[in-house]
Amino acid sequence: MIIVKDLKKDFGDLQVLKNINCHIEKGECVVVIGPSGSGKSTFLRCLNRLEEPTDGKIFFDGNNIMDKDSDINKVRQKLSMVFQHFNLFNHLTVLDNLMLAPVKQKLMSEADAKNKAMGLLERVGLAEKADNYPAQLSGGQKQRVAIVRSLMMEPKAILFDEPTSALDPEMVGEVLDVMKALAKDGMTMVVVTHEMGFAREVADRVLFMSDGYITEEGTPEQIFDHPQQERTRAFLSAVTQK
Amino acid sequence: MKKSTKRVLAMCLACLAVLGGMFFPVSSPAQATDVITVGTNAEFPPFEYIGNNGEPDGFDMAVIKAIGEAEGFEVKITNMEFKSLIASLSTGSLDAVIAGMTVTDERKQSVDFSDSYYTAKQCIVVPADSDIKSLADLNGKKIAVQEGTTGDLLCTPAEDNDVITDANTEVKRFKKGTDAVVTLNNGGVDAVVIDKNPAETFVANNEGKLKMIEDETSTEEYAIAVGKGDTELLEKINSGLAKIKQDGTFDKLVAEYIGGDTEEEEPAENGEKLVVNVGTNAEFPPFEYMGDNGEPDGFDMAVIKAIGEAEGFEVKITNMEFKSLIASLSTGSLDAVIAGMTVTDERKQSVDFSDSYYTATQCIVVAKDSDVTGLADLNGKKIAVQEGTTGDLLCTPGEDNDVITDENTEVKRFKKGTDAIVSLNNGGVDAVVIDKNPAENFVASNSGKLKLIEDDTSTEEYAIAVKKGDTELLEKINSGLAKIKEDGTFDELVAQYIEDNTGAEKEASDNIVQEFLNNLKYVFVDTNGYQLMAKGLGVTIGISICAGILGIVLGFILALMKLTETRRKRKTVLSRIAGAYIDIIRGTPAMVQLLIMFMVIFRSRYAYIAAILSFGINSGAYVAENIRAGILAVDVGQMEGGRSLGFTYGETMRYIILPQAIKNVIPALGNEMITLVKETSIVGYVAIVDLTKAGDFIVSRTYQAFLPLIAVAIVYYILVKIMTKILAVIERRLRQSDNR
Repeated sequence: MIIVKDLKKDFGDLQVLKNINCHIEKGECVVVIGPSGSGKSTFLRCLNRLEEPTDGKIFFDGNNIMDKDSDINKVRQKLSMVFQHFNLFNHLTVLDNLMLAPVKQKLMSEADAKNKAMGLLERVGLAEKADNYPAQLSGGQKQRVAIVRSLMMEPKAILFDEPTSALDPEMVGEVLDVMKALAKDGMTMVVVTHEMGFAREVADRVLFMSDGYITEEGTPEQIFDHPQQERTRAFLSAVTQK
Repeated sequence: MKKSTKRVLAMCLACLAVLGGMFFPVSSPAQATDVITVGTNAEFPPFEYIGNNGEPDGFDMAVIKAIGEAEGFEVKITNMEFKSLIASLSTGSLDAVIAGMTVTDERKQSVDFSDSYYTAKQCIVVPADSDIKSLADLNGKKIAVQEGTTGDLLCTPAEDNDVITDANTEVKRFKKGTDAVVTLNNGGVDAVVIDKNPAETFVANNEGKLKMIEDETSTEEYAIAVGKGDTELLEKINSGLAKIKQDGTFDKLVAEYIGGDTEEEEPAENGEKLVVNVGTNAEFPPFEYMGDNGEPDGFDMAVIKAIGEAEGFEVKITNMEFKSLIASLSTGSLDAVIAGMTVTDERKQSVDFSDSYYTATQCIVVAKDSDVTGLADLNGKKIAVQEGTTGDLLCTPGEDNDVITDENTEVKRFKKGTDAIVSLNNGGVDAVVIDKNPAENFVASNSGKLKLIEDDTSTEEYAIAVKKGDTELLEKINSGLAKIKEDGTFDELVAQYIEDNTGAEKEASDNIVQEFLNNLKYVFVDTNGYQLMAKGLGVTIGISICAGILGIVLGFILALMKLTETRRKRKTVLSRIAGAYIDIIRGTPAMVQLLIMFMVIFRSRYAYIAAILSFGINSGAYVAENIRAGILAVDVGQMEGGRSLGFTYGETMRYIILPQAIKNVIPALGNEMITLVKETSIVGYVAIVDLTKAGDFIVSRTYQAFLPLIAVAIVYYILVKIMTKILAVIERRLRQSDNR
């Protein structure tokens, strides 16, 4: 589904991604972990070119999205993203947030979009919030709406950029539950997170990033129970001590 | 709008009167001879057009006036759209219509027609090289007509039209015949169909470019229309028409207006009358002041117009600062200046003067109890003068000034003589030095408070100034001046304007309340102050709205141009252009921009357009920064959210960023619009009478500063208050999504 080859990203003199290579299969849930500053978020944001890579190739569904002829807006319709700070459109109601992109991009009729939106809201337990504005929702509710917004596009894969980091602890669970359900349904997901429990339970594969490289990868058992690299062990012991 | 403002003002005054427990003796115009209100549409020369004095003139006007004279009724002319004339007859707002109106069966349904007074033919005006030969050739062509005229009927394809049958024939209807001809000249249409007489005038004025084709089938009768069933008036008109036809008046008018049109009447070549642009500074009564109609009036205006009439040129008056007059002569934007201007050797360096038309003496105006008795007593005192006048020269200590020698003498220079007097009344200065005639007016209007001391050493000659070396115009003026002195016109004007200068007089009273009310009535009603203010308010609002819209549109475009820099993370051509624009406009005063726009770019024409452009461009710079800040204040996450869903940059801007930015921008934008409304108060500098200038005029006409200026301030305040309320409502609506 997603193939990354020799991906590099510089911010001025600072090399954030030095050389990234990886494959993400269809239906796979890949969790990216690693110390802060290791380039996790940058890596994720390069995948839909929200951050412009300095060099390398990214294939999505067989097409190199770094190619000049590739229309990145078309790619993004099928490669959604969920943000740490939700990025809901504050001037629109929940329902309008959900309907805006599919309707304006003429992917579905207004009636279809509304039906779909209400169905998805029902699934995440927020149907009664359809006419509220984002400012009237809690963090957990906002993030669930944001996930629904990306689902509205009927994406082939969803990128999650630390989806629970901005939430109060008691709201983390409700968001993770939605994500678990998605993974179970076979959605292709790339998740940057600090929720080790989620990674262990849901991930098909875990990537450990440090210093701009993917330094170790494997099943949750391999990474969490039998880490090979010293950096990985140090990181995990630091995280689990908390 | 204007009318309702008038009514509101009138009501306010009435309320004040009632509160004071008394009524104004409202002067009702005596119902003298019969007044017949006659409508016309002064766009149809030579039958009707706007004359040199701004009033409708022409053959029809002369005919109806002659009929009125013969039948003993007074004619009041109202100029309106041709289309509205018949409707106005029906509603009774007009008694009769004379407008080169053709008698048709259709019109006979709505009005009664008098005997015909003229037989006209429709003509086709086409470019000289056109192959159109008759009305039938116009099928499928583009034709311009004057809306609602016989030409319009002839050319419009319809069931009963058997000449123009092609449904593709495009008929452009203009409000004015002249506009139709301009369009023809610009190639916008193939032909103009119009009555023969105006057609002849148009072809003559566009010699060589246009030709005229007569259409023999369309002979028409012109008649005067009256309301259906108004036989009394109809009989009067028919009898009057018969009388003036009999006594030769009618034929004379035909000869004057229609027959010998261009050749005999107008001495200038090309059939066009010479227009002389005359500058003045209407702040020097009784020589020049703002008349009740908002136009400069006074002795000088009457003199120059009389000279113009005697010499056959048209006079166009421009009112400006006294100081700018001579400069404008040099740049050629004025041809002559008549402004109570004294002949001095200094001025002779820059301009040529005509023969003197008036001899004036400088006067000292002081408070009644002052001990000043001569110019020498003014040493060390505070003196007010009108900037650049002889009084200014006399009072300013300098090497060649042997009267005022004390260096401590403080000379305050005012733009207007009236401001100098106001300053004297307020105790700001000890004396005002000014020409004798305005001084007499000032003292008379401030009776009891001021006195006048003549300075016999300073006799001066007033003359008309022309551009240095323009001997042709100078000779004309001198010859005209000689003519009007000879035929008595000049003496009449002296008598009318200078010796008998009784304007509206304020009634005096001991009761403070009564005195205040009298003042109020004098300032706003008797001298038509409320009219001036209402007109000024309309101008202020009009300019503000137009400039505001322009500013917002420009600002929006500039903001987007500047934002390309934020998106590309480097400077772009667009952002540089927008940056330079904002930098320059914000770095220079609005006043200077206005003057540059008006005087340099527009060469002192189209003041309103210049003002609107100037303020719009100025406002655009500030609005741009407001909008840009509003857009930048929207969280970057909103853009990322939009882009991540597959929206382009433009779509994200349109659907997501701008709707949120507007909310951020509204308070600042409202602030900018409020500033703009108040900033337009400087348009007085380009001779536009806005609210501020109107207040200014009232001050100069009534010599009272308090009431008019407070009134102007209140009106501005109310205007801003209304805007603030509207903004609050808009803001509340936009904040809907913030409610928790």
